[in-house]
Amino acid sequence: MSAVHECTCGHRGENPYLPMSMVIQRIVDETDDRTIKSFDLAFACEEDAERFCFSPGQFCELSVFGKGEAPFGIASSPTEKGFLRFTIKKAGVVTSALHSLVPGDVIGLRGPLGNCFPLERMKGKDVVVIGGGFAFTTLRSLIVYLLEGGERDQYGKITVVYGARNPGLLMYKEDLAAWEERDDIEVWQTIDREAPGWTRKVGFVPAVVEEVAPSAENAIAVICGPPIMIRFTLPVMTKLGFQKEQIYTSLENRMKCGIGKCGRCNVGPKYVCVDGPVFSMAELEELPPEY
Amino acid sequence: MEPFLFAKDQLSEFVAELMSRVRLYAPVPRDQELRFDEVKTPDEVVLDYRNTTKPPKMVLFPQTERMIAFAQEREHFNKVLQVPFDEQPKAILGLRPCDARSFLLFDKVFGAGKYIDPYYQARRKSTLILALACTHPRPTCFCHAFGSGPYDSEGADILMRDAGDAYLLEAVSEKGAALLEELGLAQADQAHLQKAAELEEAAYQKLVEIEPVEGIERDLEDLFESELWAEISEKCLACGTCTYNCPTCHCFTIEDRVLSGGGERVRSWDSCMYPYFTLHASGHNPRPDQASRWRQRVMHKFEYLPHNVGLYGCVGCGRCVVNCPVLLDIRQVLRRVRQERASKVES
Amino acid sequence: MSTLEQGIQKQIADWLRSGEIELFIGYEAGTVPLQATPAFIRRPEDVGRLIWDATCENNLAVFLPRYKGKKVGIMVKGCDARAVVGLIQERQAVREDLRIVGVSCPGVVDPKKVAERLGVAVEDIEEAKVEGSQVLVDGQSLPLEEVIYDLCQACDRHNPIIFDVHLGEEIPEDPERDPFAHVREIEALSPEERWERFRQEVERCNLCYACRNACPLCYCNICFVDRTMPRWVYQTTRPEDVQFFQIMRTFHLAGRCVGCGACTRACPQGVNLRLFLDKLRKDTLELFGYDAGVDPEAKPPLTTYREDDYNDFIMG
Repeated sequence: MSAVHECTCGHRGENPYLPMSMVIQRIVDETDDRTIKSFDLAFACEEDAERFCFSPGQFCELSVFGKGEAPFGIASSPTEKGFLRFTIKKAGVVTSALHSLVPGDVIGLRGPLGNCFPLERMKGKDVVVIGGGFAFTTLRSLIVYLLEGGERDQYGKITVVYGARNPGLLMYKEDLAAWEERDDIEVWQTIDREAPGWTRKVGFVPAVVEEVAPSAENAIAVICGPPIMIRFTLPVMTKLGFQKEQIYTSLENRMKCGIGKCGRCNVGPKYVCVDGPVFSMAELEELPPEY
Repeated sequence: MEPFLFAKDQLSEFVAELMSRVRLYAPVPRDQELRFDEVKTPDEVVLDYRNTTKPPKMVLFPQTERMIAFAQEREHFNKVLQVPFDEQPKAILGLRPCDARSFLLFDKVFGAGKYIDPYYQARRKSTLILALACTHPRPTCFCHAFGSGPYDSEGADILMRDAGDAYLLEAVSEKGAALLEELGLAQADQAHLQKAAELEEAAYQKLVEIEPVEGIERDLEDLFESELWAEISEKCLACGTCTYNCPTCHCFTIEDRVLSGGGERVRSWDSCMYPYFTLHASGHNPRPDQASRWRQRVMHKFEYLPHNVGLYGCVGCGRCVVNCPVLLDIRQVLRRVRQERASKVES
Repeated sequence: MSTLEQGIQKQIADWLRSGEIELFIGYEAGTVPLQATPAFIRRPEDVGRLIWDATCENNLAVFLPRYKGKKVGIMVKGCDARAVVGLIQERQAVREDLRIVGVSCPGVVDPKKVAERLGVAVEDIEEAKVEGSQVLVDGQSLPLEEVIYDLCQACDRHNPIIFDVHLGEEIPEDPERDPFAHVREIEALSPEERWERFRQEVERCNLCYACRNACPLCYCNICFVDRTMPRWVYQTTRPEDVQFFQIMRTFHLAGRCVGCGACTRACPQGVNLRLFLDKLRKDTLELFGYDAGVDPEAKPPLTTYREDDYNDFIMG
């Protein structure tokens, strides 16, 4: 299908429900089970591209017209120009529809939505990034931003622990390889069980974090992953001396509007779409466990 | 300024006058029920009524509304068409003060904050509210639990009061005053003012005794983990009757609907009572049972909204009480909340 | 409101005390006149809350699938008992786990009819109670049989067919009574007129799903309206979505609907759902000689094949 680059920005006005048209530039399988793909999108309209401004941690509502809309964290960094990347696991209606598309197809995008990682707070501090499985998308955005934002010297040591069940399920393999080559970032990849040819860490993320033992002194940690991984990593962080104010995570809840109106993504009085998705553990402690 | 007046037997002329200026919504008989709908003929408006089953929120927030349309070219939808906003001048005539106040909450949710909902806002800005004070509060009414009452003018542009054989009209907002100015109705005379005052007094006499709601948000703060929610929700059937008939409930879903030759993105009312409301694609559900859904309903209305926007998500119209198939009475739920809190404080 | 007979209360308390059941589902007084509300009793000392009178309209069998595997007591009217049979047939309840108080029921009050007789709205009824065969309301006395639901006026199943304890006098059925008179009226119409009647009837539906959720036999884990892959129907009030929902739900109950009318009573919009469902009940009866909710061992006609099954529609 050839794309119709129909520009809608001129009459979009102040309608936050109206999607921008995006052209799929490139689709990459991220994992060898082919359930997770990255989509690089380009704005169909120049004016949209110029106006779009985001920070790592934010998300967008992507839509396949006629199928529906769903929220996805932005996986590319604002420092990467010319495209927006979303890494999407095939699960429901919209994600299945997205997986059936090919480069050149047009989809809708609303955003950027939500808050971002505490970039200002991270300045002058060590940054610890802990991720598990599929939940590494906005963490990729963060890491690239810290490394390539032209302000690397503003941050201290950057430590990354990233785990998946097996090597084939680790996403962003090229990025990981490139980061391993650098001396301004420490990357620890781990898989759950030994696998042929695997020379890096073996074990669950919490155990590797404990082993790597990043210093809590003057540090900020961001943890994203399956609930069980987060649950077992938090006590390790406490043991390492991290206070709950130093640890951030990103929540996911079912969403429709993404702008705090439709009433379904709330965790207690806070809406994941506008008050989050990034929350500190100190903030979450004040909220009920509704996620 | 003295109120204006028109005789009840002149209602259809009054309606016709309004219809010549605005698209008018009022209680009219439709499909064997009385509901707020666009008035087609001046004599079909019914103002001698208690209240409608469906709330008038559907005028400003329709149950199903097209947000955008898609045009299809080749095999995929790839062209987004914006739907024009409804900015045509409108008025809602004869809604009860409780329902008029419900729009104040909508204004806080849809018409304020970082994002404005343009569909609601366009309708709201172009709609005049002519509320009709309530001469017959019912045993299930509890607007007065919120410090309001059957003659409350909050949220209205014009408040109408029953004066026996006539209605008195008084401007509440500038928009309302401007309309009254234009309509050139007669000034109310002493006899009708007197009659209206008597009816108002009688209406207040009909209010049943009820504990004020104020402060319940503090009572709820500690009750998230309470057993109370399982207890009160046990008989809940998980239907959407209470939420769909609620004048303040505003949660919605957005769906893409494919039609032959085109498609549309529509939003429709949704309900926190439905199990699928919060279900993740992974199968995980942060509100896995009816107890957690009832907790959300109560917390949203009586703790989160007061906390976030300063208004309760309830105006005391009693529709949820009357229409619940198992008579799960929100007033009783609030009483249980108070009791639970009191017993918690004691222990 | 009438407190449940002492003897029955004592029986329920004994069941709870002995551990024969852990929960009894009955009725207690509601907060609105002429409407009882479901009561969930777990402690013997709470049985005093239980009532029985013509305000006990809910079909409590709807709750049984939730407590599958648990020992539960339940109060059922004649029609409700058939729903229990249906649930046992479909393995949603186990007879041995149930302790059933079956009531012979003369019909339950339709508050709308009472209000109509008084010339007021339902919500305006301030004081009312049922005493014997009379409804005493706001100073007037109305014969109960005149203000019970239409369904109850056409009832041919006053007495429960399944119970452990029976309450009330057996009520003789009138063999002359035609439970399908309202269906015959519709059948007499042309297809166009029937469609128009259906269209008008469901136009009021606002998809609150009270009908589905009040129905004891609508217990699917995931209802077709909630499925997203594939998406059968959208959650909009566009006529085609609403009609599709009602048609699908009705047909899914073909040969299963026991005619208790819980859907119709639950509908806040007053949609006469019973009309459509009773047409299918009548067809099932005429085509297959099958009356749902009578025999726990019977095989539902639409899930079994018999050589003498009606097949004109194939050979036609």
